Amino acid sequence: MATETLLVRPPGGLWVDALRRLAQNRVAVAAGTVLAVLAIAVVVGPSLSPWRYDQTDWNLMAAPPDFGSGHWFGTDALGRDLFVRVMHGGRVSLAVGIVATLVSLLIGVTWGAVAGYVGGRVDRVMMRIVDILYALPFMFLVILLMVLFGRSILLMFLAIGAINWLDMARIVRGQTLSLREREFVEAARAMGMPSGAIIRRHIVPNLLGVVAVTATLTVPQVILVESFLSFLGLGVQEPMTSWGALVNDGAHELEGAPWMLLIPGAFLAVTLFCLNFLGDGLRDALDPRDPGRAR
Amino acid sequence: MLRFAAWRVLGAVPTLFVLVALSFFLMRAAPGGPFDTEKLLPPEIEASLERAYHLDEPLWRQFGRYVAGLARGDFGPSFQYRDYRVSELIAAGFPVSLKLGALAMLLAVAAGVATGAVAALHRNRAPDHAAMTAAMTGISVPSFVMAPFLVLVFAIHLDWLPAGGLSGAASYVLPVVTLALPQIAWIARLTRASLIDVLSSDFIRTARAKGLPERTVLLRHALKPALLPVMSYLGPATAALITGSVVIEQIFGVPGLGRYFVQGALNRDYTLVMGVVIFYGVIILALNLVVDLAYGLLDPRVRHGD
Amino acid sequence: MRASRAVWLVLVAAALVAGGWWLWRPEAPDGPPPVEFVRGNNAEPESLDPHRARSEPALNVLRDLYEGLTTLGPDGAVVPGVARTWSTSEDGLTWRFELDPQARWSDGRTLAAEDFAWAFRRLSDPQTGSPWALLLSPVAGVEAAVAGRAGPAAIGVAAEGPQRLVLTLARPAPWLPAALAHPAASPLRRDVLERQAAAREARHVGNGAFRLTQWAVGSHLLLERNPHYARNAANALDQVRYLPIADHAAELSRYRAGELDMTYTVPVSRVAWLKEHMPEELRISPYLAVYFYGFNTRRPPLDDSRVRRALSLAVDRELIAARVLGGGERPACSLVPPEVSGYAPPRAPDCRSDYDERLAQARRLLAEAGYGPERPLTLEIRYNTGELHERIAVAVGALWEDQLGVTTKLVQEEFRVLLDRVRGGRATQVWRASWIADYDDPLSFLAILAGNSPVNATGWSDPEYDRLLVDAAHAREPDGRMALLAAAEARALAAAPVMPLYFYVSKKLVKPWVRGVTDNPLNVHPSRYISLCRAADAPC
Repeated sequence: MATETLLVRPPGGLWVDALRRLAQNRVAVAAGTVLAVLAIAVVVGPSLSPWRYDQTDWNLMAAPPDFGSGHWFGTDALGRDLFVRVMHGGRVSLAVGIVATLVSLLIGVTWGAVAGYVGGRVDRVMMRIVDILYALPFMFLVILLMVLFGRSILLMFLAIGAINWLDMARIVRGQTLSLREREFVEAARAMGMPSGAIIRRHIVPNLLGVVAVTATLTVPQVILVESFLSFLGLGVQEPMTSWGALVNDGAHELEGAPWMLLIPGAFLAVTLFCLNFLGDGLRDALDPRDPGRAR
Repeated sequence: MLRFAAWRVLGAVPTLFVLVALSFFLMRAAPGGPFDTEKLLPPEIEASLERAYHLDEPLWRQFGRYVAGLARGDFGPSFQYRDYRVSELIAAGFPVSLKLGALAMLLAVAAGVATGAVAALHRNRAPDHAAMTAAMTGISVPSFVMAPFLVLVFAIHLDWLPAGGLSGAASYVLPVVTLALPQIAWIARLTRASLIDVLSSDFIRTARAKGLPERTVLLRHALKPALLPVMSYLGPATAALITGSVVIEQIFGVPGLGRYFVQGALNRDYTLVMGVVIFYGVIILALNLVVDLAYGLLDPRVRHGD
Repeated sequence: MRASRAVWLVLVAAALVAGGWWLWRPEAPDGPPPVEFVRGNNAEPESLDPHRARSEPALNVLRDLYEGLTTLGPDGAVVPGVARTWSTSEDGLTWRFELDPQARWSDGRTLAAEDFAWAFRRLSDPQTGSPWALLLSPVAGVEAAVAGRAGPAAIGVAAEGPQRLVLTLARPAPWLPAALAHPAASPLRRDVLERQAAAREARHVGNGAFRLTQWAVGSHLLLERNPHYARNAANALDQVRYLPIADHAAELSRYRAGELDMTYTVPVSRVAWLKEHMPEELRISPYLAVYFYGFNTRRPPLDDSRVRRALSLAVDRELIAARVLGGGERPACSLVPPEVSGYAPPRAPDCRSDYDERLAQARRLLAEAGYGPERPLTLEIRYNTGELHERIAVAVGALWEDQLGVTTKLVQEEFRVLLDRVRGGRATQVWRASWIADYDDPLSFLAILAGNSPVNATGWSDPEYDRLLVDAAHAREPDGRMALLAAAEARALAAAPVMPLYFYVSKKLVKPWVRGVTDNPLNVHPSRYISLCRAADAPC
């Protein structure tokens, strides 16, 4: 309806603005590019090498990187090609990062938006539950879940994601609370729009900024959690691997075979760096009070 | 303010109860028991052990027995460390974790705020990038990689610091630094974002327009409100630090509380796990209360009494 | 505003200073430093009650705190302990032990034979809940007491006067002195245990070469010299400090930084590096333990012994020992290690010829059993968390896949979950297991495959095998007994309900100034034999 659009700020304008600012942030752009390259590499990489990720080369165990031998990144202690394993590990780490973040996003956004919008007693009860869950030692829960239900990667997605939604819920609730008082929402309510539609069409799109930033910053956290689980022996099941598992194995061989730590470690660190910088860049780009913004 | 605090304390009781029930029944759902070993026990012995620890009773009765013990302040005997009671283990481990955690937090706040401030003041220029890159190593390199690396360099090759244990001031350095690094990153980033926010707000522009020197603007007017988000982050972060970090304790051989979480679950030491979970819950709730009260003191816009 | 802020700042500063002082206050200076030996001990002892302790780390500490009727010498041989001499009756059913009249407890009290008698009764009492309750099973009445059919007071131990202990057996047991050297057979002080002394350290009144001074959970155990020990003059150490370091890489770091004199073990991945850089300090010696994979013989495909034999033959144990382990472990095709005293092991069929021949035989057997490319074999290997277990499972799986075309799936489970599943007999096909000898005798290994043994999770049982074991228990002649046990083992190897992989070696690092650590198959190193030679001028 025409009257509606007059009262609502066109979402297109806000996003175009933000994207422009993001493009001006060279660090964030560089980070995003590196991430894209990495993502392509882990998908395409394994097909470039003749080795499988679970194939043992009995003659070249713990061998250093050597283009001649066909093991570009060397081999691990069991003679498996490190290049292919790093690529496969990247797939797992990135997949865990993205999927678990999506899980936590879904639960957190829904919870927070509903609590913030409905308010009153429902809000208090929902946030109380969040407080109770906050008081649980998260690591212990994940460990218990992995022990109870075995080491399936699907479970890992769900477990890590289900634990991380608390922060998202709190942030979304805070944002929803402030959005609820804005004029355009008041107007929509005055015009008789049902709550569900208001949440869907006015609240959620304006949450996307905050959610995008939080999500981008959750992915590296999740990847680190998975690496911690590998440290405890509860990560992905062999012969599958992840960057966290590779780094953990490599840490034991630091003096004898440093490439086993340095190469996967570099991939992991670079990815985490880039995700964090990209998230910060997004946050800066969506910041309405940036003094550099054109008025 | 007092009523606020009292109300919160009262509200903590049902929270703790839910915590206890959740962890009790989750632990029991895990297969395997505390007395399993590769070399089997003779059946009479196993039965006698189960009787002694009340494991032969129905689950709800064991739960009731445990809660009744809690009301008396008794956390029960440890299933794994048979010579100890859980309260003794917690009493031995907590001061160690507290020392390490507190030191790490102090270091993290000092270094993190400083780094974040530097970055915010030179936003999007070289010092910003340099400071944030340095800070980010804390959350880009897992601690179980950083710790052995630091040990290799400082303890083995340079021989400046001990590689483990907690005897004397020098042995605190590596564990505290490793613990602090991720927190430095978080706090630096929070400080930077929040300071940027505050620096572009109206009352700062007013202060500048009044002709106040930049340093006064920063320290007197900008820093306090900028630190508010940092403080609300500190609550749960400190609780996590204090109750111990599993990685640090394992690699440096520190007798803190953190390893009891993991070991307890793996050993099916039901009482130890529940004791530690309750302890952690109490600490988090207490710290959240402290943070909220401090918020009230520092931010005049927040009033407690609703 | 100004004044209150100043006050606040002063308070904060004062708090910081107080906190700083509390953290770094200087320790009280000591006198001349005691001779202290620092050893890694892998894990916190779950208990220092000899009847409740179970793990090797706990037993290590107990060997320093207590001494039994017999004890182990520096090379692991059984030597007299508190009992100076002993004699057996004609029928081998009555043993008389004469105790050393100089034997004292660490609080000065004289040791009496009744202390042993009471301890043995407590051991056999189901109320104590001791995992070692059947250690003295040949003694009359012990099995009945443990099963709850009779009271522990009725077992065949009696003190004849303060210095003579008489054991009455239900059947002959020539290996009894070896069992009596186990820490669970230590004497105990009834009055101390029943009194529930306030300080934990005061509860551990022992008769060993050392006494417990300090037990800081997770940090260390400090033992100091027991001046009342009969052979105290030969003890060169004033203090022993046990550090329960579970992370092997961390233990290695601390050893290299000079904080330990001897480690408990060595990280698997560092053995090759250590052989190259620290060869004189690395000690590798055979250990009485076997690492094997169990087969669930209750269900196909593993109910067919041809399949099991084929799988066993296809594993190149030399390759695994050399490439995957690299620590000097010996490939094992039989259950009982060759180091067991007096035992002549049977020829093991799976290590006989060279690998290619074995592989050919394996493929033949597999085809005979009906598996091949048209009907491929799929197996699940379950193992518990551990770097070594993972590597071996990966290697065995790879060998089976590459050489036999068997599709393997690896499942890692947490230790107790795996135990639970294996005992339940469900859902397992191949699982990783190991067995450490409780005492130096083949029966310690062969008993695990007996039909009625609760640790036999394979579902395999052979009446002839069981009969041979029972006959061996009644044999009077040691040679005849060993022959019967060897025959039993041969039967088990032919049926292959388990697949032995290698015999353990014990690996540790020992600083050059440490003397008295003698390699022995039980890997037992009581501290009273150890001395430190740090003086540069005086040769030790």
